[in-house]
Amino acid sequence: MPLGNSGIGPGLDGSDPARQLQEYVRRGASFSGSEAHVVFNNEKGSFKNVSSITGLDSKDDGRSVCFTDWDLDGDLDIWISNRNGPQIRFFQNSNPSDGHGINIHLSGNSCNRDAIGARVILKVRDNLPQTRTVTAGSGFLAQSSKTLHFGLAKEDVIEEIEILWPNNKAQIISNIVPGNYHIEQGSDPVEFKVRSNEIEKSPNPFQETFNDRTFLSQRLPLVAFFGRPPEAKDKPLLICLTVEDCKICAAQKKEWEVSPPTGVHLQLISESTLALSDPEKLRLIQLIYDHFFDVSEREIPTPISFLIDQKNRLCAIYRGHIDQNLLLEDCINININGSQLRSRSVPFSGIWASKRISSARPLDFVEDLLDADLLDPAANYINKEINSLKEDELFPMLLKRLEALKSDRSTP
Amino acid sequence: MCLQLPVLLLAALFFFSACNKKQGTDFDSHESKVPTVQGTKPTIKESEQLAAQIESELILFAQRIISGALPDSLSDNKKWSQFSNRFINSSEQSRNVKASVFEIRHEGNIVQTVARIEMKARLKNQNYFGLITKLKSSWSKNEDEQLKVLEIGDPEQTVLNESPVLWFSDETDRLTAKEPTFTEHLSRGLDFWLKRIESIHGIDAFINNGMALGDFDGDGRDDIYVCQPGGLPNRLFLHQADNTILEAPKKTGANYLDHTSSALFIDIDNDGDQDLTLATPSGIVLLENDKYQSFIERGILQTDEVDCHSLSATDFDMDGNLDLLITFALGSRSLDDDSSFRFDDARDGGSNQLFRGDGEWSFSEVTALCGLSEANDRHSLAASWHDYDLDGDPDLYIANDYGQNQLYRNDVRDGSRFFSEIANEIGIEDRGAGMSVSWADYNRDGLPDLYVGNMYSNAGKRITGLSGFMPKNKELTKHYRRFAKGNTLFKQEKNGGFSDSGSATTMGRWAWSSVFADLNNDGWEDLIVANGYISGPRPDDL
Repeated sequence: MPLGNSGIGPGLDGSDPARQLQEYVRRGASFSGSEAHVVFNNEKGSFKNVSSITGLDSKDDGRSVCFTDWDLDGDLDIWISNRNGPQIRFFQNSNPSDGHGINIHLSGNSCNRDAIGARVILKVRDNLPQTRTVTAGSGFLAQSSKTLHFGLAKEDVIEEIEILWPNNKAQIISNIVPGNYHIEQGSDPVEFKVRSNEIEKSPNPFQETFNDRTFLSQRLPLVAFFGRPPEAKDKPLLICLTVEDCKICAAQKKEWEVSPPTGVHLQLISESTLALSDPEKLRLIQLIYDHFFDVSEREIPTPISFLIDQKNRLCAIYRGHIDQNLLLEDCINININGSQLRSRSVPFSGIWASKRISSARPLDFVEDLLDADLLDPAANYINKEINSLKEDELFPMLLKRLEALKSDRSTP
Repeated sequence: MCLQLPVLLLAALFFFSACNKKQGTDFDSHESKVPTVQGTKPTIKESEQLAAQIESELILFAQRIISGALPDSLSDNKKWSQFSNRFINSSEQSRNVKASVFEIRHEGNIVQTVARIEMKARLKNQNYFGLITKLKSSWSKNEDEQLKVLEIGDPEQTVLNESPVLWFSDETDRLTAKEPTFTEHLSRGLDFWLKRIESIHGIDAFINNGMALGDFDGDGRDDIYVCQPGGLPNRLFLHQADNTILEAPKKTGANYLDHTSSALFIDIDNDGDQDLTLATPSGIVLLENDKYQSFIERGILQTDEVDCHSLSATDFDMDGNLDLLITFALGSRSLDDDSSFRFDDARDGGSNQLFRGDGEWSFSEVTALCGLSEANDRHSLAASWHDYDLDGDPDLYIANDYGQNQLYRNDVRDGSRFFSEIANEIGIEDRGAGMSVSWADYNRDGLPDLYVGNMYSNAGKRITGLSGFMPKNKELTKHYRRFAKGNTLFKQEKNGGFSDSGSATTMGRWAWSSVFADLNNDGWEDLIVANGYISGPRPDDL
């Protein structure tokens, strides 16, 4: 990681600040969060912060900003993408003191069809010219509309529009009034018209709903921690951790009392009991919960359930109430692999450009155990999973690390 | 796993657990608990703790101004009274205050600060009213660990705004109401999905995903393509006649699940419809628009690195075929001692690549051929093409994190296109934490000007301004100070050079897209800065 040898020495408090920072964010801390977007009004060439009266000073973690006259009413509207939810926000321009505007969409003939690179200069009487350029990609990870927009204040007479096409051919247009136009290279402007859609514009007939469970694309062996009771026989095991004062937990238990889940052997564990009998296992559950995700020490929702297959490998994590049908389906699909498994492991359907499918690496989990200073469980895990672990090229290094940590611990 | 590093290490440098911002005590008592300060010169950490407490006190102060309860000590102060009067009878729920200390100095037991206070509210006449002002204040700390205000200075450089309406209204709910995908998926932010999608699919806490507008279905309206991290499908929303959005049917083939940092709608094959390109870890995915109905995958341009970041399109050789530039933030090169990461001048980024369009969906990698491999080793977060020198061909500006930016002038050498890097020569290297590029002729003098997005950090300004900050290395201190300064507006002069047009537009907070657009139709291009780094589920802010 380049941040480790950043050439600025260690952090001001002697630690590795970048790593600390990353860990804090993974744990859910904020960092320059809830900042309001800023807007500067251009007052004839000098700028003034007008954020508070724009309605744009939202406290989202904004990223991309895209402009378009979405409703074709002569002014620019804005889409902004966010890190937080909602991930996109639409801001409609509602400034009534608006003057006129003109939209110009260009199509090239002897240059690229999109006219990317074309420069358009608009002149009105007694005022300075305005210039716009057709661009694809600007700001941060954003592409705005390729239709050019000019604000005209109260002016309704445009003296001239000069288009410099990308192949350096100039075209002059006069006698044009505010409105929406399409200009084909070399031709007169025509009024820009929206058409009816040829494509079906109804909601997708197949609606996907989100189920709060992760059907894992990796199979993590867990025999070291969760033994199989003999009565489970050759069924998948569902371990459900419940807490007291949890309505969903109570409802779930009640539901299972009336109709036990089919196809699995259910094991209910109460957090308070476990905290007394085997507190280390609670830490393990937290580690297992965090292991697959780029988060750490996040609060575990309750109830939390783990589906474990007949080979004692973790297959799915369920948060909250479990849908019986989904559980049944998951059990049926418990042995799928390859692209089928990859599809099932994401919450919505789609296409992968990447054909490479990553596989599980139990070694990473042992590293997590060592990071958490859980040396005995790590040794136990290595012992139980030696066959799969020793195939990993980094296994000798892992053993060395374990030994080093053990000797650190034994030296006072 | 490809971990996108936090965009700015500076913030990491300013990482302190100092921000347990406790609520201050009653302002009139002028007292508040402060940490024990050993000796006369506090450490940076102690200084930061003091700054956090003074900030809390100033928030209380601002709340008193906005609610008309001026502290006794300031009741005779005309300027503060005047401001306070403006808010009389304003709606209580609409009141909003923020205080930011951006300069702090210690002299013995006296602490002097400069802060910015932002206040806004809806007035009695229903107008929206906002006020931003700077103020100096001085505080003393005694041996009993008490903080006491000595003086609150007059407001300075005040900016006032009042308007009967807001310029924009948030219509997200209305536009997305008919689309269940929005509720199920996009209404939830990255933090929600981080805990539900395995990182192995290409999703992490520092990932960034962009957005593109273009008319996919040929109805004359811009549609919207939303990029997503790995494991979540990108979404193509079609712009309906009533201006709401609905997702394109599944069979359209736009729902890629690979991490997509950016996307562009462009007509690659010049047949009159909008094709789509995606920047993914597998390379640049090329999708042909098939009769406005669906996309056909026409190949993936393999890139040298996997951390594809910002896509931009141009026709740099003006042969009529569009060309593609992809930037990279992270590189995979192994570091030797000479090229180790330097926060203020990192040279270990991935090499950006230029693909020349040759028509018929074929592209040639021409980075080296065109001179772009020169110094191509920075963390490039944004790029934008613009004919800045008005010679008829597009030039390229690249904003780099952790170092200086680049301007590649498009020249013809021996009959071929060749780029010369001249950012220093014309004064727009803007060494900092570059994140965004936008070109426009903001002053309407005919010459293109440039706005570069950078980080603005109050903590960064405070710490780099301390006399004890890196006392032995003035040059480096200057660079670090620059890293916290914020955005830069470069005005082009008649001689082809650029000048920094000053501080009015620097404070864009933790800026991402920082872009020109005429928001109020007056013919002058304004600036909008989308910002905010990470608002996690835990409110404590670093």
